[in-house]
Amino acid sequence: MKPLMPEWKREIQARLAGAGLRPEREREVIEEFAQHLEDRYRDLIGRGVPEVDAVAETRRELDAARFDRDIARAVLDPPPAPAPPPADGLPARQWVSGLWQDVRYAARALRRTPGFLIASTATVALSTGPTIAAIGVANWLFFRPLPGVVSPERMAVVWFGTWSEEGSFSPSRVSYAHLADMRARLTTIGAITGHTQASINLALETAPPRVVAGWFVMANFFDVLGVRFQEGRGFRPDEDSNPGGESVVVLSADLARSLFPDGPAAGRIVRVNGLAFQVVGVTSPSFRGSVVGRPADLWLPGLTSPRVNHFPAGSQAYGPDRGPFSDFLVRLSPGATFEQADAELRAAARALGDRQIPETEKYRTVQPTLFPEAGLDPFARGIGWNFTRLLLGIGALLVVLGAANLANLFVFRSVTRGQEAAVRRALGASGGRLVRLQLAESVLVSGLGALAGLGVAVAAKAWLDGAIVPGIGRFEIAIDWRLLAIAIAMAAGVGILLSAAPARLAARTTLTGDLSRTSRSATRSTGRLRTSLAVVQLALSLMLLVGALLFIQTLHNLRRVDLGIDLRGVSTFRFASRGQAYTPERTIQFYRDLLERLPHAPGVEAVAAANLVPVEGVTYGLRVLPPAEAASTIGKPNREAFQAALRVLSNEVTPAYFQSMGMQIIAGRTFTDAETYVSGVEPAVVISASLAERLYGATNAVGRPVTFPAQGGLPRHDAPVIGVVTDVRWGRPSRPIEHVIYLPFGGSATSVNQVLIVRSSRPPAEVTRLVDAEVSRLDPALPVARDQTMTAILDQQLAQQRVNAWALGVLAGLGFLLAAVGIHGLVAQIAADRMREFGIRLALGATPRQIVVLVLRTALFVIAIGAPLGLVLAGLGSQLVKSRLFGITPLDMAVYIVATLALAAVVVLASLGPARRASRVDPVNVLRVD
Amino acid sequence: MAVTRDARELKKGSAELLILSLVEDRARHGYDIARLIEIRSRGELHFYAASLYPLLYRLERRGWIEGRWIEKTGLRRRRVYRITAQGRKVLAAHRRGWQAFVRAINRVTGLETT
Repeated sequence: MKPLMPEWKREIQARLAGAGLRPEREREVIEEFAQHLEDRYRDLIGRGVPEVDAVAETRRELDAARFDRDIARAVLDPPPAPAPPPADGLPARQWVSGLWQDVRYAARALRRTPGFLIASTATVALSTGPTIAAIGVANWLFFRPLPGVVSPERMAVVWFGTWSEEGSFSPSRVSYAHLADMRARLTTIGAITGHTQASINLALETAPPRVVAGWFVMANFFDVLGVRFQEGRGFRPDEDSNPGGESVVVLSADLARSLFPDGPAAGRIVRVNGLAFQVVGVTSPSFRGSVVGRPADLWLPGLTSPRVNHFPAGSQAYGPDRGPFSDFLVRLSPGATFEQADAELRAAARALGDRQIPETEKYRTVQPTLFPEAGLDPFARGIGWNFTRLLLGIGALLVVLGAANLANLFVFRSVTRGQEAAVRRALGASGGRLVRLQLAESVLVSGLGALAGLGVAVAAKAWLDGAIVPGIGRFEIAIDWRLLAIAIAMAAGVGILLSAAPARLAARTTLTGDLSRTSRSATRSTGRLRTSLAVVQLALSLMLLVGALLFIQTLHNLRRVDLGIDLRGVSTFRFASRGQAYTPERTIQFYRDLLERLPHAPGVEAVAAANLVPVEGVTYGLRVLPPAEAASTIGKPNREAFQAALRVLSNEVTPAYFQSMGMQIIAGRTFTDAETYVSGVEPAVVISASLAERLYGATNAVGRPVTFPAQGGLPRHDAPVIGVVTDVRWGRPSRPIEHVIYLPFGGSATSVNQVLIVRSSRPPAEVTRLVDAEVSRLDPALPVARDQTMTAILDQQLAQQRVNAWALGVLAGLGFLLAAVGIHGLVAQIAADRMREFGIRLALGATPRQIVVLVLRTALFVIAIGAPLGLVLAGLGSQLVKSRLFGITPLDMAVYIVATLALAAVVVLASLGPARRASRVDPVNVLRVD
Repeated sequence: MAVTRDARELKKGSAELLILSLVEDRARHGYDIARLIEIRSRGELHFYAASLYPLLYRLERRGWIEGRWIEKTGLRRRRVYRITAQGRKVLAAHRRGWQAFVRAINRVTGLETT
């Protein structure tokens, strides 16, 4: 019996009209559907369902809101791929494309949570950036050999001279002939070349004079170092063999570009200390000089130095026993060791000394000292090492801090996304796949962060390069391929290490742990992990804060030390008069003229000249006999008097010196003009208060004589004290007060150091312009070698402390930031986990404030454990830096208390947000979640 | 909102599981599959054609099942579906996930252990 049934096909076709299928496919689908409906209808009839109902029931099979759309989607759309295909162990090709898919997927996931992306990238950047910069410093000082020099690790620094018992060194210059003699005996040393630095006045016909860093070198200098040339060549042997040398000069790439921006430099004429020299070559831009920290601008043949330095006519050439150099660079022969070279060198020098002729007599005491590896000046190596160690230590600490915080962030993220992961697992994603995803995310984040960190390092370089580090020279952060490699390695390491914990968590994630939030097993273990991380962060931050406060206080104390002078508004100027062939007499006259004209300028309060200024740390010494010793050594040999004498600091000054330095005249007066500029025995002296006490037991010593034993070419003599002035701290503020004696300016014709001092209420730049104007009126060819305000000089002396305070301050700030973020996340997570409990409590009558307290308990717990830990770490750590502190003990109570309170405040503040949110939760909503 | 998203995904997942398991041991056509679901679930589950076939076509496009027109002498041609090798892997994974899910539900609705 054929039951009556509607024409299904037409109905189906009508409904499929909007699907847009190909006619052939549409026919197939219609056929399949029609069969289904027929079967259904027959079944229903067979079961005894009335016809009408059967039809209606059958028709219901077609019911769907957008039937055509569903069919279209299923037939036409590409297979959906939001869930990862659950296949494990794919073949290699698919593995690679799978990896790329993971990375793209991770990138998408990261973009969806910009907060996390920013926080994690910033954390990596801020912790790796300074570290990379610190490694850049180590690179500059130690790892990166002299740039532009071939194998500096096979070279050594050799100094000729004698060492005193106290460890100071007196150099002795070696003639070329003697050098050749020694060289002939050496097999372990392949080449020797000499170098010495000199300040040079450089001028062009068309440009104002400037002071540049010049080096006198032997002709073979560039060959021995393996320096390449951008233009021209180095020196030929014949250019450094005749007395006086040849007037040729090699320029550095930077100087050449600055002098001759529009054309080649080779062949041009420049004025070196007023003498015409021809440029024969320009070094490649990578070569910066033969000593780290002392960039070189130009090089001159060694034998030209007496000419260039304008020595008197009689001493224009070197004698048979001396030459231009005491400082040499040697290159080892292949296979030789530094020890062998050292031994051979000493033997060669001794052989010279054994010759028993007057010219080589000095080699019986003068010995070569070999320092392995060219690079830093030997005296600077210890300083450099300490400096680098400090920076690297800070960097390491920062990385640890950042790593802790990053781990925190990732764990939080994986817990939050646990549900998502759980469902994926349910649909077939393997644990391995999820681990790969997590890894991809971590690597992306750490990669981005490391890039940003490199940016931070580059910014640090831009900011700090060129600053002068006391004892070393010009600071530089050396960024090269080594640094990039380290940055990448750090990024990868950080990324992989950190994703380990959350990835394992993700892999182990079971539906049990995540879909049902009331289950605590998974969250409890992550909660413990996060709490420990927060405690560690807190402790480290506290330690850093204590350190920062100690250093900041040290700096403050140092700045506040009464130096005995009034620094404000005082500028100092030095002129390169030696380079202009100024005789000592001309120099003195120059200053006399200057001091006559400058005081009349508006805004200038006082002008003076002196050998030295305080704070810079340079000292001259004189011996002075206290009255008792003066009396007891009358008539005795001078050596006795010299030994019995007191060593005091000395300075030659013009009358207005004390006023310009803001010093007080306690008794008597300053020099008159008549007493100044007198050569020979000084007609009068002024002494510091402490010296007056030491010599005479009273500060009023006016009229008393000061006795000088024979020294400096003058016989033993007395000079009357005409004034007593306030004490001054010479050198670093942390040094004790020293005795100072002031002599009239211009007295010793051989003194080489002069400085102009100007006290003015006008801004330093205006003062400089004023001085420049007056100086060029007196001598247009004389450049200003250096001008600095006294405040700047003090800052330079305090540079190390400033770096300490800054570095630790920044670190502490960062540490706080990271700790705050960590605590915030921790408290937020714990609060979220306990939402149901809070809802119940609120429903049962708890006040919001009680909920806040409950949440804050976690924060307080972290403080309770973290603070003591941090304080102990701080106490231990501060012992390590005790020597760098001034005016404060490592265990200063105030600092520790302030730091702890600050930290506690930050922690509470960071927790308030989540706590308040927890207390505001609506119990009804919370209880309905499941 | 997270709850509804999961629910839809789970429903989809379970439907796929059902279909794959029904074509695991032998190939079947669409109505056969629908009927079996209704019988074996004792009427609890009923798949309308409008929902079933889009699902079948989707599984087919993913390569988990394979559809062919079969002609038997004397009868109209029918489209039958059988499981593929990849489909078998998917089925195994789905089964594992489903069992875990069921255990979880039981634990929650039953005694809460920890």
